[in-house]
Amino acid sequence: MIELAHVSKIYGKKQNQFAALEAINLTIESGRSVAIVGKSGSGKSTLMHVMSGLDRVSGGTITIDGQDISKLKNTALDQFRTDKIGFIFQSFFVQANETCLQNVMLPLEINKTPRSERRRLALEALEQVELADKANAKAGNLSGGQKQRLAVARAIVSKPSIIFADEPTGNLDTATGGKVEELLFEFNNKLSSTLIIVTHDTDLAKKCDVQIYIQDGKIIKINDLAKKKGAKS
Amino acid sequence: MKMLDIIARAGRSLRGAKARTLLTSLAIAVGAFTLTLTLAAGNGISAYVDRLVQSNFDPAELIVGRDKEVENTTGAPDSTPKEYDESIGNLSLGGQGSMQLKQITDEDIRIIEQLDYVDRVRPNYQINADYITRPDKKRYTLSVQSYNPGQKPELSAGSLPSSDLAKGSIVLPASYVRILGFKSAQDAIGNTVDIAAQQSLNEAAVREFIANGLSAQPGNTPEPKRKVTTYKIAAISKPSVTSLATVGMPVLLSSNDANEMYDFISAGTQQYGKYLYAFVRVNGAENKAVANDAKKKLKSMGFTVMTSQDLQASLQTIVNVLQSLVVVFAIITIIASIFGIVNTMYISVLERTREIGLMKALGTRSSSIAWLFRIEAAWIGLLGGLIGAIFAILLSLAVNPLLTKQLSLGEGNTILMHDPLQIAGLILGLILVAILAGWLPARKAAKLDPIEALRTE
Repeated sequence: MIELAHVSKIYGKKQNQFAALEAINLTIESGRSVAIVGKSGSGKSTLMHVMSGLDRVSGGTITIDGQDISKLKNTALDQFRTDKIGFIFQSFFVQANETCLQNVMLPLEINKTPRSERRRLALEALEQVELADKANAKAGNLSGGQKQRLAVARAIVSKPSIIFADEPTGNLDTATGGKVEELLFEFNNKLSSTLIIVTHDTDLAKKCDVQIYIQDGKIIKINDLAKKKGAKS
Repeated sequence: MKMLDIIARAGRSLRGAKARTLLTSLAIAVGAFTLTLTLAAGNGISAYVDRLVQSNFDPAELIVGRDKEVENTTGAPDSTPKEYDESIGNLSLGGQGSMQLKQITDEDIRIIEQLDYVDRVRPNYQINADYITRPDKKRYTLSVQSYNPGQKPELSAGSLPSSDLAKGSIVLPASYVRILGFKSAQDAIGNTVDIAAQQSLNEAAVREFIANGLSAQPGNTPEPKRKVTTYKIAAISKPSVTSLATVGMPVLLSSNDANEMYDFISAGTQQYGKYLYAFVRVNGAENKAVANDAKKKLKSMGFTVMTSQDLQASLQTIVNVLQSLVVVFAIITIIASIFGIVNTMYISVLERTREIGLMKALGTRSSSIAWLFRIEAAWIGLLGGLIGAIFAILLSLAVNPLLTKQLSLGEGNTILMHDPLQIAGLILGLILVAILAGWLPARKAAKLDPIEALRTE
């Protein structure tokens, strides 16, 4: 479970202060799929950064599975990301000069999985994104859609409890983007990991259980489909 | 991240930039090459000096004299003129002019001989023998030394007693065997040679000459007294490549014979019964502590003393000075290459901003990121060290036979001697230097903000 209480993020000093996030209160149940929707500059990326422990809050607390990550030291925060978080970025960020297998093994290297285990786990993850045949191919030779699937494999290989996806289909055409979306929701169900997608694509947002609309650093609307369903029944 | 994974990852990223890595390493390789060769040359020359001293000096012998010059190991005499001392007399040094040197006397030698820690005393007889010959053979020049039982020369024939040579017998250098008409070294053993020595012009001879009422007219110059002694050949000494003797190998006489010949030559002169220095054999003086102890005692008695270790050290000093000069140049090269590493590493950090950002986002610690770049620098250092050392060894293998021949060092002796431990130490040092060079770029990488690094434009 992710709980944000009075979270704010302020950039700059004194007269040049700018609040990227203001008094955010939010609770996200484990295993759900959440879309954070907003225009560019709305603060949606900042919200993702502070929730994932990439960035520090200026005020308030972020509690994830009972742990207040705003109070963690840097190394503990690194460990938290290693253990709990998987990332997927708009620009893929796969290592072009390394093989697909090496790319997927990176999180396992970071979390100190024994060498003998890494290959097996990485191959397993590649199989799940249907890239097993490309295991020894250089990542730079893949198509855009394949690269993002590789990134998905890298995000799920360490079995994180939360996966953050920052505009995961932003650089892809509809067909390949659809495939990536399919995979993301599949893992969200199968691994019961929380999926948080940052996007301005409303079609993608509608496929999520929860839509959080953000504007000027504030939450303006939360759509919870499950709750609505619950209300109806 | 585990250190092993960091090392592997750093190696992988270097392989991704082969040309850059190789060029940066080559800069270090130049320094490593120079250092490896310098160290090897130092080893070779040190070993040569050791052999030189050991084959020319008995390590148990101390050189004992009365004048401070005996302790002067640099070879440069004191530049301030000395006051003339009537009691010392003049010692002619041939073309180098004359010099006043306090000499050690027979009386001194008797005192030293009686010291309980002294084994044997061998005065340094300055014997200018005229020639060596055999009946019906030509006359040849020679140098003469007294035999030191503590330091047996290598023999090609004959044998030597464990104590002094028997009176009347000599050790003849192999170079005289053929020219004196012997078929082989073995053939010469037991045969005899004649050695002639000439008495110095002394006061008594001059008086006798004047008393005879003769003036210096052609054909009327006084004939110097000459004595020809016949000696039996006990052994033939092999030519030595490390002999310091300038006139070839010396003919070795027994102490008695050497003493007799010197007394004859110097009779009536100021040199009679006086020597520039004497070789004092001290029991156990191969040990530095024992030698220094004896040196201290002898010095307190007013003698000037030099041990064979002193001599070795003074020769070594010259080698060391030359060596440090080259080492300084090599170190300058390495310092220059450090900037190369710093530059390369900064480029590497810039090029891999995304990769660093991603690794940090996925939870890699800053310290691991820093080590990733330090190890990358270390790989460059290792590569440079290996390239430099390998080229230095290959060059040594190629030129050593030539150098050995050119410097006539003798079979099996080389001037460039590589010590694996030294090379390993050198490479390790270079790795450390490279890590230090990578420190600032590594810090820059470690401080990188992952959000900034991953911002898409």
